[in-house]
This record gives sequence, C-alpha cells and structure tokens, in this order.
Amino acid sequence: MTLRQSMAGLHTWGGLLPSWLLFVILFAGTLACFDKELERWMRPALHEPVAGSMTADDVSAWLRANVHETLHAYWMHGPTERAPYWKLGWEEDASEVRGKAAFDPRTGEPMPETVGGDFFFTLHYNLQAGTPGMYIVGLAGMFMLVALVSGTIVHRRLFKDFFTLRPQANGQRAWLDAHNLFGVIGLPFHLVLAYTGVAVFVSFYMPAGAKVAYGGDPLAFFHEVQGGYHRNELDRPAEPPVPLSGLLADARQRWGGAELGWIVVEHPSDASAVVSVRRFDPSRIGAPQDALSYDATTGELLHQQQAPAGYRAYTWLAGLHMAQFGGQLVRILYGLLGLAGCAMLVAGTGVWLRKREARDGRGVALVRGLNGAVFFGLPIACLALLWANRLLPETLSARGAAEGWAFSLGWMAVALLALGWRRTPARLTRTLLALSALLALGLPVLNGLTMPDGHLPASLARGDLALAGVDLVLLAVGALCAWRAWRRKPEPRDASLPTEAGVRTPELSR
Amino acid sequence: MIPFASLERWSLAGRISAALLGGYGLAYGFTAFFSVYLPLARPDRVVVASLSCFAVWVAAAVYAFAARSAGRAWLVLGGLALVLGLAGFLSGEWRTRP
Amino acid sequence: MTLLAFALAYLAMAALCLAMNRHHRQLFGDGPAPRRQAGLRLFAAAALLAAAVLDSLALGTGIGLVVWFGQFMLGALLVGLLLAWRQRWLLPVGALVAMAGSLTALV
Repeated sequence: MTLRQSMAGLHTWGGLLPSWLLFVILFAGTLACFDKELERWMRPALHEPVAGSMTADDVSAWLRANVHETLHAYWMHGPTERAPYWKLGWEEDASEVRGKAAFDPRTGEPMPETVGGDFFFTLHYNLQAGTPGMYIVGLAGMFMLVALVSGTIVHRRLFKDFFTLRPQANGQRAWLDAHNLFGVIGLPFHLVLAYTGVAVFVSFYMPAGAKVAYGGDPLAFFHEVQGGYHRNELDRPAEPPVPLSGLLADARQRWGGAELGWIVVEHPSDASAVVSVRRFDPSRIGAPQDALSYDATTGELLHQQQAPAGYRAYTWLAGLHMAQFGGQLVRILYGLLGLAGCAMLVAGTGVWLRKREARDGRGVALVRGLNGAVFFGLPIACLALLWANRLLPETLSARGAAEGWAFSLGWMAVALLALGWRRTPARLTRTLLALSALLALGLPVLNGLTMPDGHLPASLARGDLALAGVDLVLLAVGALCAWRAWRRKPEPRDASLPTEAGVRTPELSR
Repeated sequence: MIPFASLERWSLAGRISAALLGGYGLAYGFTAFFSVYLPLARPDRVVVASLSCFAVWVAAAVYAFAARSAGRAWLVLGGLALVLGLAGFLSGEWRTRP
Repeated sequence: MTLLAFALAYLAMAALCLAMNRHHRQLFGDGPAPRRQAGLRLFAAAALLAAAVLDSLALGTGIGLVVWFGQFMLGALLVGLLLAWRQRWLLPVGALVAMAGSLTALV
C-alpha cells in the first residue's frame, strides 16, 4: 500500500468521523468571534449606548450586599467599547459554586439573566460540557490537524487545482472541488487556528512538563511560568479594604493611562487578600502580561508580573486564536474564514456521500441524517436561542437555563426530523432551508416589534453598526436560505418512497 | 476506498491505537525530555516543549498509518516514547534546575 | 488602506489564476502566452508585497501580517467562487474593489 493510499484512508475516515463535532466547534467559534456584539443584542438594556457612572467599588458593594458566603475570589471587568457594562463573577470558598452578574449601566442593578454571546464561546471550547467537553474538543482539534496534514499529502494537484470549482460537474467532482477549494485556500488559517486552539489548553492536555520539571506541583508551575503573584491565606479575618478606585487609578497611572482589563480579588475576607489588575490592550496580538498585584487592606503594590519569554509566546499564540486584536476587521476576516472551514467540512461529507450513494453503500442514510441533524440543526438551534432571548419574559427566574432549553429542544427537533426523513434528503433540505429562512428573517422583525432602541432603523440611525450588524447578517442569511429553498426543485416523486434503492438527488449537487 | 477494505481488521485497530495512544505517549515523552534537556530557563523549556508536542502527536499519527505494519508503528512510537520519557524523568535533580 | 490592500490581494490572486492555462482559457478562450504568464506572476508577487506593506503600515507589522494572510486567503476564495458562478465578473469586481480601496486610502 502506498503512502498516498494509506493517507487517503486516514483522511477519509479520520476526517469523516469527527466532522459533525468539528462543525459544531467551528460554527460556534465563528459566532464567538462576535460574542460581544451578540451579547449586546441579547441584552436590551445595552441597546442604546449610555455612559454609566458605576465604579468598581459599586460592583464590590453590590457583591457584599447580595452574596453572604465566604468567597474564594471574585473578578470584574469594566465597560469597554464592545461591552459597555460592568460584569462580575465570583466563586464561593467551600462549595466552589460560581456566580455571575452583568450590570445595567443606567441603574447599576443586574440585568435580566441571559446566556448571552458567551454561550457560543463556551460551546466552542467545551461544548457546554465542562472539563470532559474541553478534552473532547482538544481531541477533535487533533483529528482536525491530522486530517489537514493527511489531506495535503493525498491531494494530487494542490496548486494546479487551487482555484478550481466546477459546480456543473457530476456530484462527486463538484463536492471534491468545493472541499479542496475551501480546504486548500483556507489551509493556513485552518492549520494555525487548529494548532493554536489545542495550544490554549496545553497545560491540561500535556502535563508532562509540569510533572517532570516542577515535580507535579501545579502551583509552583503556574507561578514560575506566568511570573505571577500568589499569597497564601493567613486564616485571619481581613481588615476593611481600601477602595478599589484608588488602586485602579494607580495602575492606570503606572501604565501611562492604559485601559484596564480584569480586576481579580483573591480571598477577599482573609487578611491575605490581594487585588490584581490586568491591562487591556487590543492593539497587540498577545494580551500584555504585566498585571499589578496590590494588598487589598493597605493598598501597597506587592508585585508586578514579569512573564518569561516562553509564556509571552504562549499568550501570543492564544491571542492569535482569540482574535481580540485589530478591531472588527480581524474578527470579520476570522469569521469569514471560519465559515470557509465549515464549508470545507460540509463539502467533505458531500464527497463521502456522493461516492457511496450511487451504489447505496452502508451508512449513507446515517451520514445523510447526521448531516441534516448537525449542519442544519446547530444553526437552527442558535436561531431558536435568539428567539427565546426575545420572547421569554424578563422577570422569569432561571431565564438563562430556559434559553438553553430552547437551544437544545430546537436542535433535538431538527435532529429527529433529519433522522426521520433521511431517505428523502431533498425534501428534508428544502424544509430545513425554509425553516431557517423563516427563523432568520423573523428575528429582525420581532426585534423591531419589541425593542424600541434596538431595532434596525434605530441602530442604523445611530450609526451603531455593531448592533445593526446582527440584524443585517440575520436578514442576509435568511434571504439566502429563502432563495435556496425556493430555487430547489421539489422532491422527485419516486424518491419520496422509502425504498432501499439508491435515492439519486441530482439537485443536491448543484 | 480500497485501503481499509484490504486491511486486516485488527491491524487497523493496531494502527488506530498506535496513532491515539502511541502518539500521545510519544508526545508525552517528547515533552518530558525537552522540558529537561533544552538549554533554556526552566519555564521556557517547559513551555517550548509543551507547545511543540501537538506537532509531534500529529506526525506520530500520520506515521502510524504510513508505517509498514501496525506492529512496527507500535514498536517505533512506543520505543521512542519510552526512551525519551525515561531520559526525562530519570535525570535526577537536574530536571528541576531553574 | 486595508481595503486597498485587500484589492491588491484579490488582484494578485486573480492574476495568479489567469496565469494558469485552464483559467485563462475559461475567460479568454486560449492559454496565456509565456510572456503574459510571466507578467501576470510578476504582477501578483508585486501586488502581494505591496498589500503586505500597506497592511503593516496601517496596523503595525504583527497585526498587519495576520490581516494580510486573511485577505489573501479571502481574495483567493472570492476568485474561485466568482470563477465558478460569475466568471465574467472576475475583472470588473477587481476594478471595483481597487477603486473603492484607492478612494478610502486617499480620503
């Protein structure tokens, strides 16, 4: 067996099996490029930009007044251009229960609960499944890297076919062209994003270095590698803390007026409490690693982070993945290239299917069902989530969980439909396209009916492109789906019969 | 697809396990080895070795399917992993030098 | 400035594409003459270089190069997609983007 043959087998199966999981990761990652824009869209209180007067001390005061358990730590982030509000998170000491709040800049009170744009970010890196999910995503990332490398080896005419796409060719040829076009042209992006993606969680995925060079002591490892600061608890109750605003002013002054990022307060009710302030600098790829740590009681500067070169390289790689630099231009580029990655996956399963459905190979119906369940299921579930965000009453308790249910149930409904109609793929595709169009086009309308400051004419009149962009993209996607559903011929009569004979669907390849 | 149809089922299982487990083992051994022997300060050694380990795993996975047989893939990947891992972990006090 | 860089990246990709036999024939009916082929490739290299310089000037070297990479991938994708469905638009789109890019760079 030649190298190319064995690589072809590896690419076919090592690529097909994780492709639905990878689609979830890539699609969620594409949406997560615009997490903060989606978050604003999902929080009506933020639609009209206002300059709030809330301070870090107001946030701390709210926490003291509303959470009475002893805290292990709490962290907060002030308003930025993309996220114009204070957000707060905390972890309780004994139970390790975490909580979070986001504050209305007008009233200083927490806004109605929503999963927000963070939902897509979390879906991207752990599938909303905690630590096990993070390991599954990591393994999927490795599969993607292997598929990219083996695919490059398999490809006979990498440069000759660089621009080649023949949609009129027979089914398999057209899908292969599309798979190659999106895969090869996007290859640098796919490779870099897959590699930096697994690298983000390197300390979880590859503990060998910490084990061998630090005797497996994670605290010593993180301390030295990050060049950070840590102070153990003294088990004495804390004196009243100095106001945060003084520390923040000092940090700002030391950094020459820089914007501030996360503010972390560790064991706030212990005498050892430390306030760490990070710098926020979207003009560079890797986040700056020069956090300032203050004694929470005296306000004395204890330490300035000095990250070793290796860790700065790591944050550069992580920053390259997270696209928090270079403004909307970079995020739009990443978003479009992410979509190219999704297209590569969809076309890849298309090649597999066309090759086998002519002779009705095993698994054709299953792959077809999975395609419908995931490639349509996930986007429709995301639309269902946005619908729930607008329709659920603001006073509902556990509103975020209800949004999550809308997402899950929407996905499940599509999955059941896709598996039930897997032998009539043309009817399935047409129906799901029409449903996507309805949901996507309906959202800006619903937005217009319910949101006085957030609807499209209002946001456009303000020149608020970040908010208007969400509605505009929904309109564009909806129009595209409607057009495709309308152009698609109805099911050929004989194919709607659930026969075992190969169902030929020439219109799918167009 | 001819390639996998012609393969013995358990030779295939051997290659898959070599790619997944042998490949991870090699990446682990590689990281342990270079976290000790790279001529850099400790935090930089560890970070550089750890960040490169995924490339090693990818290469190992590709090799597991390119190798002449599953047994050979296991032998090479497992052997290398063992040698590198032992050299890393059995380097005494030296491995924790700053 | 970045729009002009994108225009250059797109034109470079279009030129590389037209330097290939198959695509030149698609648009013009026959393969490119050797001198034309060399000219197209030379233009592509110069345009890509200029795009990289423009992006770096506008955004700094690090971010500029990331944006440049993204632009040339998207430019190539656009060339491929246009060639498949709207091949007559290949050059007009290039002219349009180049004009828009020059305008925004001047203003």
